[in-house]
Amino acid sequence: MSNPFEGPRPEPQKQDIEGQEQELTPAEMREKLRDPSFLPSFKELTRHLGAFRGYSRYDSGEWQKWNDLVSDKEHPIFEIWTKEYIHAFGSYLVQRVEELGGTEENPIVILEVGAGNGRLTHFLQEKMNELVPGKVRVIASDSGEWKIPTAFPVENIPHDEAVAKHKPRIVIFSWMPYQEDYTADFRAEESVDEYILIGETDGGCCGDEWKTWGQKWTFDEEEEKRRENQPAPYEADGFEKVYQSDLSDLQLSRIDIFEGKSSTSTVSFKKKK
Amino acid sequence: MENKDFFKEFAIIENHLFGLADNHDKGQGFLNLLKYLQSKNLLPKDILVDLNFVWQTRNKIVSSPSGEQEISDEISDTMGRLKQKLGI
Repeated sequence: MSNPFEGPRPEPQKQDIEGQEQELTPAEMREKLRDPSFLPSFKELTRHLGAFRGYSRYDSGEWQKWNDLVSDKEHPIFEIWTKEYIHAFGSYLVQRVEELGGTEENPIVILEVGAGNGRLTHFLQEKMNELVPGKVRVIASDSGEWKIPTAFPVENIPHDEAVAKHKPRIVIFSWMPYQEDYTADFRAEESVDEYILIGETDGGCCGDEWKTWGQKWTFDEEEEKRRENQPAPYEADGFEKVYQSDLSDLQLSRIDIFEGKSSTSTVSFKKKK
Repeated sequence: MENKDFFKEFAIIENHLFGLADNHDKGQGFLNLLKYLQSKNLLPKDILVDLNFVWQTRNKIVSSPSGEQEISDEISDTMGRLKQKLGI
């Protein structure tokens, strides 16, 4: 059995002698993005991706190169983490940890499921260590179904077993597989006060439009009528949906490359008191 | 049809639909856009089946790790039909 806690520890990113990041060419940026420890700035990445908008983008060689980067079968990139997003998301989590009463003696457990190579957890744990040292334990888990090599520690375990084992207060899932739903398992675990989904919401390419998001409009009129007459599954289980638009404004994903637009969001589902 | 060509055609259809909904918040996602258009009688019923097929195909490609989702031979005809019905 492979040990998911054994992964390479990449070198920290290089900076110039003034401590400022050097401005990278598109090719250099793509190369840097292959390094799991590299966290680009939102501003610089936006500049690169904004350079080829419009219909003509598909005919430029650049589109294919960026497409090849995020569609690497062994190292796929879904959400593109940036310094600004990690800082903002980390700050949000710090606030939640304080509200939930995290202490060094009794740290709050945050569990990421579907963690892939473990980058998000790695960067969030670093941010937590900086902002609230000792008060949070962030754990990455992944079923291993997609055979994504880990870059940072990731526990190889299905999501439901991970939730039962670690009894997290907060669960994070970035890019839940299309037409699948794992959120019922999060809500069923008593310890969970909040779960946070990152990706396309409300009937896009992440999760199940009804079971995950409670989207009532559907292409099927009969199904729509059925949905209109009942609460969304998360509401029925006593959770409320909160769009974190300040975080969503800082998101970039493979969709920015495929389609030239930002359409991913961060949405939290909080247990009602 | 290659992914690139699919995205190119899909962008034309999607932009057309967004263009029909001037006052709608584009950040609410594609299904909420369709819901809005339907409420304003701007979405012909006879395009829903084709639109659903195209939307599901798009989602499968975008969510696939390698973006290598097999694109059905029918998709080209479906997108052509959609464009025609939408007057694009």
